[in-house]
Amino acid sequence: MPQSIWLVVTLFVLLGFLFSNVGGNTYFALLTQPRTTVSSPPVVLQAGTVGSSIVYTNGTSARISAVANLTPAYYDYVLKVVNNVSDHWKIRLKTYSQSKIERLNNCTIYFRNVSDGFSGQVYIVNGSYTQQTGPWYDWPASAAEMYIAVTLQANNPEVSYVNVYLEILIPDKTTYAQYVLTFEFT
Amino acid sequence: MASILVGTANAAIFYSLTMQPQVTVSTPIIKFERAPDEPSGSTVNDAWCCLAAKSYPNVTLTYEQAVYINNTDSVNSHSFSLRYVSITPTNGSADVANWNSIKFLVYNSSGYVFSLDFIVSGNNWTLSPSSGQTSYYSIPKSTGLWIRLETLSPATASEGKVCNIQIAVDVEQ
Repeated sequence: MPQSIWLVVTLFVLLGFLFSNVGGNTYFALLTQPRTTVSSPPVVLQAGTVGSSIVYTNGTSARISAVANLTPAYYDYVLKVVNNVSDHWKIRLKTYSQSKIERLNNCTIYFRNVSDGFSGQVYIVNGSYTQQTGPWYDWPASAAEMYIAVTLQANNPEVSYVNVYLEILIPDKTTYAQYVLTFEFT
Repeated sequence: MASILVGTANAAIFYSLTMQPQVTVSTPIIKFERAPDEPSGSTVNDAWCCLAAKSYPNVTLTYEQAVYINNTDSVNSHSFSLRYVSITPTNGSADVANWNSIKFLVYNSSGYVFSLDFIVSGNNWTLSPSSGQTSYYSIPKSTGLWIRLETLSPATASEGKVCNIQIAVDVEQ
């Protein structure tokens, strides 16, 4: 009798394995073929006429130096942004790192152009950010050049760095380019 | 003579089962669809897409929603993964150094899901994950995901250089 019970149990175990293996899966594969072409940037940077700017190869990154004094200093043209195509863009500045900004009593980094003046992008007041990402600024195709300007005041002679992305967005899309800008305030 | 006689005496009996497969051309349940940031010059079909992206020297270029991957099944969820198939220029070619990275990040409405990244080290591509295949992720019924495409080239990149990648989207039906 016990032998027949074991036989039945063994049969059930074997059937269990059998049924567990009959469940198959069907797979299929879609194919995506991205092609990435190195292209000439539609927007490039050029050095300004005040402060000291180094624009690196291809005009897509720059280091901007300016002196921060105990009294306010105005640098109205530290960097020029040039539209090489006839497209309309939206642009803004967005900070991503910094050092020793505690010494900056006042720092404003802003856009300006010949016609409509001012768009405040980054604000530091009494050593702290009050705005780290600027509002999108509509850059019409007709205005081929945009300027970046800085207002500065510090309370000691150290060196501060503010690292920002210049973000360039295609209007009505979420396709954007990030250019690296380093501001050095001595 | 005797062996020939015995050999021919072994007759076989055959019978046939009949299988009648019916193959219907269908739209895949999980399929590509056009998204707002589809690069200009791209082609997107249900089961195949070619994305004509750009990269700029020293610039991170992001196509936030390059292509949708939609589960059109209104009843069941389905799992999928990204699997590397091929890339040119191939490892060892000096042309590889025209890119820093090309990343394919999958997002849903809640945020990041997973990515398949091609990172350049010297003249070689390094894949992440290193197996070249992501884990499987289940797309709920009637739900869409999208691929965010990020490209970055070094300042020394030469204009006109082209990188072609093939990625399979494996779907568990």
